[in-house]
Amino acid sequence: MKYLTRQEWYGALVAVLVLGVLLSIASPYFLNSRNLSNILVQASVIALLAGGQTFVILTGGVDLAVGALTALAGAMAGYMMVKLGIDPYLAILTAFAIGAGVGLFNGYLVAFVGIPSFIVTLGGLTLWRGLAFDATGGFDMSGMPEPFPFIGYGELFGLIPMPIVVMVLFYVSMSFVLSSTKLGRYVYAIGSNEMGARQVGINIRWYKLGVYVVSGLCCALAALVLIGRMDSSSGKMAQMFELDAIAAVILGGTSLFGGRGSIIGSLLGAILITMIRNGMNLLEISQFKQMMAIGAVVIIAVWIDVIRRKRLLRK
Amino acid sequence: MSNQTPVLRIRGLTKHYGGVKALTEANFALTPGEHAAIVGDNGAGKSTFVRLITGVEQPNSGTICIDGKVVNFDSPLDARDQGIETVYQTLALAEDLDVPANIFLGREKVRINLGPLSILNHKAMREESVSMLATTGVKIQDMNETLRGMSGGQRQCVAIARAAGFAKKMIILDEPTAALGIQETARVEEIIKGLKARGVPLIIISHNLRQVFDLADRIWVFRQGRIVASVLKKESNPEQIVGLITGAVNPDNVPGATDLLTAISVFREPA
Amino acid sequence: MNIKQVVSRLAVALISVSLMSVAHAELTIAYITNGNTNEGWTLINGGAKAAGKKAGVKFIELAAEKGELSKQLAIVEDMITRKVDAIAIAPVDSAGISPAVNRALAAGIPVVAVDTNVTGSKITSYVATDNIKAANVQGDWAAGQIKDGDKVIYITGDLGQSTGQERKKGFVDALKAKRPNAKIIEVSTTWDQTQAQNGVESALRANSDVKLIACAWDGGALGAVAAMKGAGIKQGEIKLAGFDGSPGGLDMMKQGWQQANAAQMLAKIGAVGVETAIAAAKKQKVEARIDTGAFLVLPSNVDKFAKDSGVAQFMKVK
Repeated sequence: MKYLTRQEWYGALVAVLVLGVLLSIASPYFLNSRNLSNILVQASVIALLAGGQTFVILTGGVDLAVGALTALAGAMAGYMMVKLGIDPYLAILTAFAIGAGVGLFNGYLVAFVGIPSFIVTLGGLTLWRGLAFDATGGFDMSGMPEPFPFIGYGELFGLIPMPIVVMVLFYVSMSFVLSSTKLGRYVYAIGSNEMGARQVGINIRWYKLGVYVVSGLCCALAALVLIGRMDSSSGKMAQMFELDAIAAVILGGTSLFGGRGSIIGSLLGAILITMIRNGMNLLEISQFKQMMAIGAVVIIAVWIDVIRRKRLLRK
Repeated sequence: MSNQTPVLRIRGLTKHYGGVKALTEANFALTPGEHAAIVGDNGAGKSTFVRLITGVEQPNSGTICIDGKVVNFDSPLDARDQGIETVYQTLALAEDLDVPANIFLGREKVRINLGPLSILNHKAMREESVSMLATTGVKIQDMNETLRGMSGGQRQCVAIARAAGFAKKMIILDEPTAALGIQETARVEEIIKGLKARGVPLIIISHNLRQVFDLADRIWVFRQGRIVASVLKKESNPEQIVGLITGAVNPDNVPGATDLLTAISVFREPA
Repeated sequence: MNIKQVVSRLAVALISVSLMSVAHAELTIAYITNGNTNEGWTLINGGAKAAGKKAGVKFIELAAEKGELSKQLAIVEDMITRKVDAIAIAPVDSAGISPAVNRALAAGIPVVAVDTNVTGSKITSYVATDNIKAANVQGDWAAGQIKDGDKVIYITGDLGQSTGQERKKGFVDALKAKRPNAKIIEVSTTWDQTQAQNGVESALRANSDVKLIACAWDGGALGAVAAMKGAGIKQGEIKLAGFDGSPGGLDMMKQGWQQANAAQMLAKIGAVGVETAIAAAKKQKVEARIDTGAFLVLPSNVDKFAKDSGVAQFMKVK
């Protein structure tokens, strides 16, 4: 129990459970395996983006362009397969190449040129979405070839929806990377004390570059799941997903100031946000109130983060 | 000079930033097992000197010899590879990581080497951390706790233990007790004395003359960007050092104060 | 929080679940919009809501935030979970919504598409203006205003979309039926008012003898008016036929710029969409394609139309 309470993600876990109980009371449709599985499927894309975002935020940066990059990678992959008839696996490779390429671009500007990540990725927000429209001529693609219907709607052993499988595998490997590899360790070190990390000889530039590449690759993976789920692609997709992804990370107990946090928290955060939406849909709460609720939740999460940080500093 | 080859010998080290002469023609030596103190007023060139010998910055001219061999430091990593460990005033610790992670920060033990994705050997690092802390005499209750929960003194101890554990040649301590209370200062000083007993050469930068006289064998006085005097502790006293720092005492009037400096300046490395 | 508390709360939750599911009996209709909040959609949504109220069913209105397809997908999935009796939906994307719509249909929930069709699904019904028929009305009126061989400017919508293609086809076919030698100068846009203005400006410069301008949507008419003002052309010197019956379009008519407007029955689209969904929920047979029709608004009937359709509330010129 003590182990549990001192985890960064403890608060998110409590929030998920409490909200789960409240929604079970409030709506007769909430607590059944079908709906719970739905929530996990709906959370999957945000969870994948939040996973990459966790790396960036842990180093003290932020990636505002994840929605736009998801649209770029997804729209390009869809365009290649549907319009140009290119082999789906080649399109998947291209999506990852786009993710990695944009990650390198962001990372280079942040780590080597020294432009704040906020600015680089704020520019990327419209840059990559614009490129997504431009490169695909603004056309929507639909009717994705295999394996996309399987990724989006298939079920492993006819039981577990594929987006959930992808999400679980992703989180298992990402939590291993964060806890047990040099990259993971240096992500925390850079976020805790960037100067100190440099003094002990960590090549912080390359590792900072690395986290943006990780985030870019996560966008590509998210894009592939998303176009599978929608059976279509367009430059319009993944609008404002950066907000949900960042909110998931912050709700999961990762500090916006870097250094503190966990990847499991981000998964719980993504589930929490999806539960809020799902619950409000079931309770028939209108679009505008939903927007207000998500915005308020983000502000509260950051508020808690700031208070926690102040308390730690006082110590 | 003594008949032993110095661990560190520095000759004519100079660093000017435009018109600002931060350090001019500095000569310095550290013999095996010796604990040297660097003193001087703010802006006397101490920090520049430390940055040059730890590879943070590169000198305009001058040579640095380790064990009689000339070395060039392009980065702090070079200095560390040559066996010089530095404990910075800022400590270079990651508050959000635990003790073993901090001790091995930047030189993790790995199970499988895959570049940035190398898999860490948590067990080996934990075990070695325990023994490193034990030899240095540092006691940490919970190795799993992050440094955030620890006091300034405990953090300083972790940083010194780390330096002592990895130092092959010498340790440089930059103001190790500046931010500590009385009890914690005493603890850190005990650990430094332990290093002396183990024969680890050490350079300490300190403003605290009581501490300097307590810990150092030899005292190097910086004044206005130059090293003006080098005296043995047992041949000096705090009043004299204060005089040398402020300029009230002329080094030429202190017997033996400039002998070593002159000896280094005329020394020529064997070709 | 301790385990006991959690367990007891869960127990309370489960009991209330079973109680509430017993209480549920009336028809529940989910109306899922595309999140657009402009005047046209406000009218469509208003019509839908009024129809739901009138029929006395449980009416759930939800919208895809920011027109985001994945959010609309999630809403449809949640409504399947919610076990609604029918869904009326204005798809964000015709093809993209299809996987979720198919799941709803598979779960036995009838789905009615409102204004925009769903491709790739055998939906219960599609309720919308027949763009070709409405544009026929516009083209037929235009034919009556000109002599054979006269020049006409047509401002298109996005010809990459079915709506843009159908409106152009409907207009051109009806015009050519009566005036086979009319010369049509095409200004193509992607539903962009500035493109329309620039296009009309250059078309007028090259052709001073244009008799009539027709538009695929009222925003294009706004661009045309701006271009005419720039060229020093007065109200009515070149006739203007709008399309949509939007508040801005009817304002232009009141000011004398537009002489005709092929108006969509916006509120009726929403209302019929929901009525059809209710009928389907009651297992009644419904048409697979329902045309809500178009109305030719002329200066003589503009006030009555504005009042009856509800457009008047958004108009600036009373």
